[in-house]
Amino acid sequence: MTANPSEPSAPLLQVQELRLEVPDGRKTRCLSSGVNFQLEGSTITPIIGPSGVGKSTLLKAIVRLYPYADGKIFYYGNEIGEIPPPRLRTKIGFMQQRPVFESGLVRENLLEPFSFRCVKTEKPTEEKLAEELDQVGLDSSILDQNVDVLSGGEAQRVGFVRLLLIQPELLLLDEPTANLDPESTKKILGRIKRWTEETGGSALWVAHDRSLIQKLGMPPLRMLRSGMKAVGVKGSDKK
Amino acid sequence: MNDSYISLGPINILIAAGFVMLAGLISVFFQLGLLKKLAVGMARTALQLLLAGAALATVFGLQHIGLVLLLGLVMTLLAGREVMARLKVKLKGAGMDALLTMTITSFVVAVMVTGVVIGAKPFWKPSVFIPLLGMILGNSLNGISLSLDSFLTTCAKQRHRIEARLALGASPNEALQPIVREAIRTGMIPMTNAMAIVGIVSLPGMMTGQLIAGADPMDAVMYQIVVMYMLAAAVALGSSGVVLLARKRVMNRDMTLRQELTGY
Repeated sequence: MTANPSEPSAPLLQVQELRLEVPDGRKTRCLSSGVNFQLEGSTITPIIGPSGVGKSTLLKAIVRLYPYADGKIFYYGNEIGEIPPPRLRTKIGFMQQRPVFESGLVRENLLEPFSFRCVKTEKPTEEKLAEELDQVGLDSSILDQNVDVLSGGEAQRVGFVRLLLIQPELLLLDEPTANLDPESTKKILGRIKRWTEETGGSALWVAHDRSLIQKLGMPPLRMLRSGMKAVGVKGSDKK
Repeated sequence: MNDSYISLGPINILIAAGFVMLAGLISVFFQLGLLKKLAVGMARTALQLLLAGAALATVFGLQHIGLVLLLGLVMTLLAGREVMARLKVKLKGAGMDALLTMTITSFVVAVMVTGVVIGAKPFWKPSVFIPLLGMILGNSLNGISLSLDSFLTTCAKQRHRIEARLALGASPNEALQPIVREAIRTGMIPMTNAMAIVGIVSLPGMMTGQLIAGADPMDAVMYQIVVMYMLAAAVALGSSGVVLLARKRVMNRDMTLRQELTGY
């Protein structure tokens, strides 16, 4: 359990002097160091930066799916190392670049997390499932389809529904719309925006596409080999 | 020993060696390049079995519990080494898990069978305990290495699936559960298959041995039934035991897969 009760004044997420490394043969190689930033509630913040700088790794580090070499990460003022990982991961929803499903029906996949002990959210009803699917533009008939037959865009949207059903407070999205059709991209973006408005939740969104970044509404954070820089919504990134 | 028992001597062995010559001829004819392997194998077979025979003769002769347990332990260690050699995915400590599981489950099952089922007196009677332990080790080695290998290989291969479950709030045990189940199944399948065909397609080595030694066929069959049941238990315990131990090893304290398995 958390050592301290969360302070109401503490930011949603705070990252201090983070250093990310990957094993490279017998040694390790630094991806980035001195990463500092913080997030406030009800925002969608894009993360940009050159490839190989550790953007995906940063997202994984926040939910302790990847060990960081140095630095600190606080969630509402509590160091994440103090929060039991399954609990942390139900509060902070991490979305893989491509959703991975268990073989079976869409319904089974959407309900599976509710069999996990740490998922305290109530198991959704059929109506709730249909409603959530509708929010991303999917018909409830998809519930009885096998996950193997979903298109890329459908799979990604089902992945979103699965994540949102466990009601996280913060979403970590790793290029969730890369290689998706404009229709799916639009639906997902719309859903995330409504979600932040309705629940007060926030999202950290790794993105490359300039027009998408502008739609997210917050100035992007640029991740570099040494540190994290806030950049303007427009301008600073000359073509 | 029964009167009908035919004892073999060096002459019989020499004649039997002719069979290996036959294998050698085939190797030469088809240019298989197996001649050296066959020769080494032939020598090893004779040498290893003669040594085993000498060890058994000593242990049977001295009738001492310490010696029986020592021999059993040496056999277990050799079996453990074989499991480690068969593992495709190496993970620190997994070999220890295999050895620990094999030692405990094999000895427990062997003692139960000799002491309770067969009622040997004493339970460690070498002529019963050692052959039974040997059979248990041979089968549980197979089950344990299949299960452990399946578990570690699948963990490495399906790391994204495990990660997806962890990211949705699964505990390590919950995230690994389908892989655990499949790994235990994999280890137990050869045993369930063997139980289905025994007596129809295959006459097991132990039963054959008893028959050659002049035992009554029904006696030999009774023993074989006990042995099959015993092996089923040993394999099930070994497969599940090693996977449950290895399950603790594949995750680190952050409750995510260890980096050796993720290929980072």
